[in-house]
Amino acid sequence: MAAEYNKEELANLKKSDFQPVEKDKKIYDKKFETKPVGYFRDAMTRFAKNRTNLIATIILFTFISLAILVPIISPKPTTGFHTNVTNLPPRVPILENWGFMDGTRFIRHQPVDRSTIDPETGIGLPYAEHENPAIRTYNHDFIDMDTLYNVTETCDFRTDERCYGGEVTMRVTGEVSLITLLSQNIYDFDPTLNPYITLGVPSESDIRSLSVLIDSNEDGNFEKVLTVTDGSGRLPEAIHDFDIFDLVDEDDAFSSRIKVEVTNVAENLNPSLSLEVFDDNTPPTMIDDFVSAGMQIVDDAFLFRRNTTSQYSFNESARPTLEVTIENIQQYNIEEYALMVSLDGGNSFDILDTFTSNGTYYIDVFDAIEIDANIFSSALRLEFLSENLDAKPDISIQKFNTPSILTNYNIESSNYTMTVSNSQSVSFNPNFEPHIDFEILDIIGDSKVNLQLLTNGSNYQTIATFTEAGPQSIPVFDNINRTTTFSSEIRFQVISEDSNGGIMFDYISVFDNREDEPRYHYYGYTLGQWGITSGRVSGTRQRSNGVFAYAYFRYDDYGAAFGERYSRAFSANTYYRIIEENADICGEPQVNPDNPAEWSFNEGCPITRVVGRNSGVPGPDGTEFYTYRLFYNHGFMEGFEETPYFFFGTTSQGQDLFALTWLGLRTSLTLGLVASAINITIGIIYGSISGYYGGKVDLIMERFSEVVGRIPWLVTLSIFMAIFGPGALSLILILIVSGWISVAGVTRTQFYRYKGREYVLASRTLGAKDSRLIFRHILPNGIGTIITASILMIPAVIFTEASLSYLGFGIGHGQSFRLFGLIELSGVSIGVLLSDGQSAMLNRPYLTIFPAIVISILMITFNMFGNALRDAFNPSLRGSE
Amino acid sequence: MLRYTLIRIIWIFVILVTILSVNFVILQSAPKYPPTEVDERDMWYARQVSDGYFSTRVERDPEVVRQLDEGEYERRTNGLYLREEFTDSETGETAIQYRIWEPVPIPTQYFRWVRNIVTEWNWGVSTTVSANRPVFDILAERIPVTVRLNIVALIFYIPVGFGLGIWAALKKNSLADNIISVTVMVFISIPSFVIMLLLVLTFGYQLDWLPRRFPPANATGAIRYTSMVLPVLGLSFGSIAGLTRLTRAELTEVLTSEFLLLARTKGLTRPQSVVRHAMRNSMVPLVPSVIASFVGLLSGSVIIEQIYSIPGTGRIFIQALEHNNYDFNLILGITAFYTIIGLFAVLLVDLSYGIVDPRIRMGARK
Repeated sequence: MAAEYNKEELANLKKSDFQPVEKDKKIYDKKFETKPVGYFRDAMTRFAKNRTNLIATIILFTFISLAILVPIISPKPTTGFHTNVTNLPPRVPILENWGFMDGTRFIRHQPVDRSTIDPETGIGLPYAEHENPAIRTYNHDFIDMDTLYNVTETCDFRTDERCYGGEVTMRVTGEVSLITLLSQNIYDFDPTLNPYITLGVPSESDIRSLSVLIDSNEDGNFEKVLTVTDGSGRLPEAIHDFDIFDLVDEDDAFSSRIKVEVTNVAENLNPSLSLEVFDDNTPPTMIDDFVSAGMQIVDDAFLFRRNTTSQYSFNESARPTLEVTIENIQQYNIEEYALMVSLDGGNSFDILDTFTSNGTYYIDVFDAIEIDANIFSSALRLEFLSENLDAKPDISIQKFNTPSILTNYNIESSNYTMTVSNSQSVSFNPNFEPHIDFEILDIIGDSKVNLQLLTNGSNYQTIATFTEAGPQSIPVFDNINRTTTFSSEIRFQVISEDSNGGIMFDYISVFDNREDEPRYHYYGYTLGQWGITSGRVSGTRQRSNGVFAYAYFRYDDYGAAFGERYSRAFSANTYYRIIEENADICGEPQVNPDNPAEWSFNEGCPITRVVGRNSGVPGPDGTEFYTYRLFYNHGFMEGFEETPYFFFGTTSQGQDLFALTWLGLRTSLTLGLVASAINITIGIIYGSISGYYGGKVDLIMERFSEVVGRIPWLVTLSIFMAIFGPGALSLILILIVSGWISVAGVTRTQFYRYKGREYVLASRTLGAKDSRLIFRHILPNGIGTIITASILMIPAVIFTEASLSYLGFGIGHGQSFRLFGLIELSGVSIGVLLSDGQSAMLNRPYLTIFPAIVISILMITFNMFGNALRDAFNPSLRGSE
Repeated sequence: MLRYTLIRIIWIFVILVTILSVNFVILQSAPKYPPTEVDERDMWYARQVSDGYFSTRVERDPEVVRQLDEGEYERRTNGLYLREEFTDSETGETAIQYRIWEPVPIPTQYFRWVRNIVTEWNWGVSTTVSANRPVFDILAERIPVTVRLNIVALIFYIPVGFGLGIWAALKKNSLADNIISVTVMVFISIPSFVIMLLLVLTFGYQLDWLPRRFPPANATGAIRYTSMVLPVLGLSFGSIAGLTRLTRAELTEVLTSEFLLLARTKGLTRPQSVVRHAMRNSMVPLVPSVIASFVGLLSGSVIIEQIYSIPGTGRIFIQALEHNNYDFNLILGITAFYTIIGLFAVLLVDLSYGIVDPRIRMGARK
């Protein structure tokens, strides 16, 4: 066709040559091939494109539905205390078959009951029962023996019997010392002379006890004959005297040094005490050679004087003493007697003493005058004044010597000492040849150890002494002459020159020939119980290298809570009731052919097996009451037809954690929604006003929101805590205080964006009020952006709520409250559950893990949902946060 | 610049004074809980009188005593009314008197409080946590623990956050980037105390690798260092996620800009262009955000301290806030500490914009 046109024709085209194509069809009737897409549909398309976000959203809404539905549907308890189902681990129907969340849990670090240790494997079980309620007990039937193993740790708990073995070290502390004094002289003791000793304890002494030891056999072994103590305190000032032959077993005369053991406080190693030995060996000399008739009148003042005719010798070592007895001093108006001696052979006399009244006086000669010589001889001179010429003195004087005063002694040794004993009476019978075996691992310091027994009922006798470590076996009756049975504590005396000396024991046992096993065996814990029995606590005991075994095992909590249990006394009434009520399940009792006293029931019967009937007790109406020994299904007895499933386990109160978690989530979500709604409302109103009016109003409102926004949450928290205390009200207020500011900011921006638009201007020219402009014209245009930007506030609010409730400043257990009188919420939230779980992180981690995972997934999906929503509605913001 | 700085400082100061004043006034009007031991209580009241918050007097007027006895007298909140017998020295008669401590009006208290702080640096004494001990002493003992922990966390999280962010941005849309992005999403969402609880549960209790709680101050040896690991991780996971996300976003934006293309066309290698041009430009919003994050760390550490029993300011704040046994002076002191640090950080953030990016003119009129 085109070829038919020539140039002329083309140059002269007329209007009529042109015809519109498809003139009869109107173009605006034509349908677009693509459909017009609405704002929301467009957003939803974009939203659905992102697979990850879609999954997140699905999870989020599943969680929300669970939070709404589970607390309503679940029959399991979320309040109150339920004894039978406390502390159960998670159990989920299908997963349990894979050995995961099957109602068992792995339990660590439980003390092993020593008595359960298998001698072959050496592995022990935890305690099945224990008097101390702090020690957890486990039913051994429900321990998975394949998983059981022990871990041992060294321990040094001296008084914990679960700590096994080890060495016990006993040390003196240096607080009390034992000082041994030995006299330089050897004294002769003759029973005919009635020798006696006096012990003088000075005032304010440091002495705690005194013992006198005498070698009565003259064999070099000193025997303790006498002990002076005063309870545990210091000895009071006193003089004690004792007859020697009352104390020793000896009847014949003997010679011995005297040894004194002083228990002293350690600071004073030189005790002051006096010990004197007397006997009748030196009878007193009667000084009666004053010639009474021939008193010589010396001068006019009627001074009477008379010398003895004999000379008397005075020896200082004998401590000569004069006993002066004066009677009738008033008879001749005698004012004063003076008794004198001469130190220079009779030239001059020195006054020994003067007497003005009747009485008996003792004059220690060498104390009374000052004299250089140790020995002197002198006559005695008596002088007195009287106006009566017939005056006669009535005075008698005896001179006697104090034979042996123990003034010179050597400190033979000064030791720190301590005794330890088992505080338990052990009887020793010579017929059974008892022997005490022990092993001393170490003797610390320069110490000596005496093994002592109370052989004669009053005195401990040392039966063996050791200075070196090593195992020992001491036959008790080798060193003891007696042939009768006696009982005694076993006592070790540690004598150390070192203030920190001591002894380390491995074990101490008492054997006899009746059996191979020791009758008494002290080892580890029992050895640690030995007491320090010195007068005062003067030692320390310490255990080391003991072994503490811990069991690790998998435990079937559900089995223990609901499984078969054994009862020693099962009431016959209950027995018959159960058999009757479950007759169709239990069937007839099947008696054990081997033992007619035992019978069992069909499987599924609450009573599985009867192993015996206890003897009956006649009741008031004459019938007999029996009890049975049997195995029964504990879960059934407590009202559980079958073992329940607790998906997340149960709390220490027996509440179902699964239901609690969703209940808590519901509370958290509701609070989050309410607080967010309030925040969004306040924020929109505030932002609208600020953005709409602008200028000074905007400036002031901006400054105000800045100040509020700058308040740290700690300040907000403390203010609301102080005014309202913890609770839902404070929580919501804290969430609101600064929560609205971001919404206000977004709203303000939207208002700046839309308020200058033509349609707003048009509306204003038509006379619309501000409120109409704000709420009918500007806000609806910006609301989509505002809401999508605010959706992320909900997880943020939940975040804060969980934190505060965790710290105990939010809601708590036992609270329940109504929001606006409509929605009733429990006091449990995820934060509260996490706070509860923290105390049992070691053995019940699921109490923390499940709430933590649930809130984590909620927060993650909520954030993803919020971001996806915002991206979908506002693609220009994609990628920015 | 100077004018802007001055205005900002003054404005921050105004906010600070406002917050502290509002805090003071509200807390003072709430009931107080003086020490319960008689000696400590008497010391506390004496101290309140000497600090000027309370007035004390002896009331012997029989009419007033009767009103006090019969409850007609309007007793003031926080007042102490001690009923005693006394003997009149002139007449020798015995009668009843009241020794009264009453708070002075709150405005007066407020000005005395400001005066005590400004002139004597006297923040008052603790009532319940550590009776009659000066609040500032308690704080001085606790602040180093908290600040040390936070600085260690800061030192740990900045390189990690930057590094991950830069890596993700340079390898955009690779597997590494996707993994990092997902991890960031997870850690930003989970509350830090949940992370901390899970960390303690896993590494402390179940695996037993690290201490389960913070050791006492006199602990020695490795535990001093190992015990820092969990709180630092707990504190910094959220911050690392935030910093990684921000770094990635900023760097991604800069990397697609024209001036970087220009730099490459001029002949710079990719590392050169990234380090000299892209990094420098992406730093602009990052430096202020790091400064601001310190405040976030600090207030976040309150709950971490509570979980891990760290003896810092946060833990003592929780103690001071014990229900019905509040220690107001201590609360005031601690909130003042957090407020001052927070506002100081805000000031630094504002000023740092101009330092990091010279193109931004502070306070310039548009």
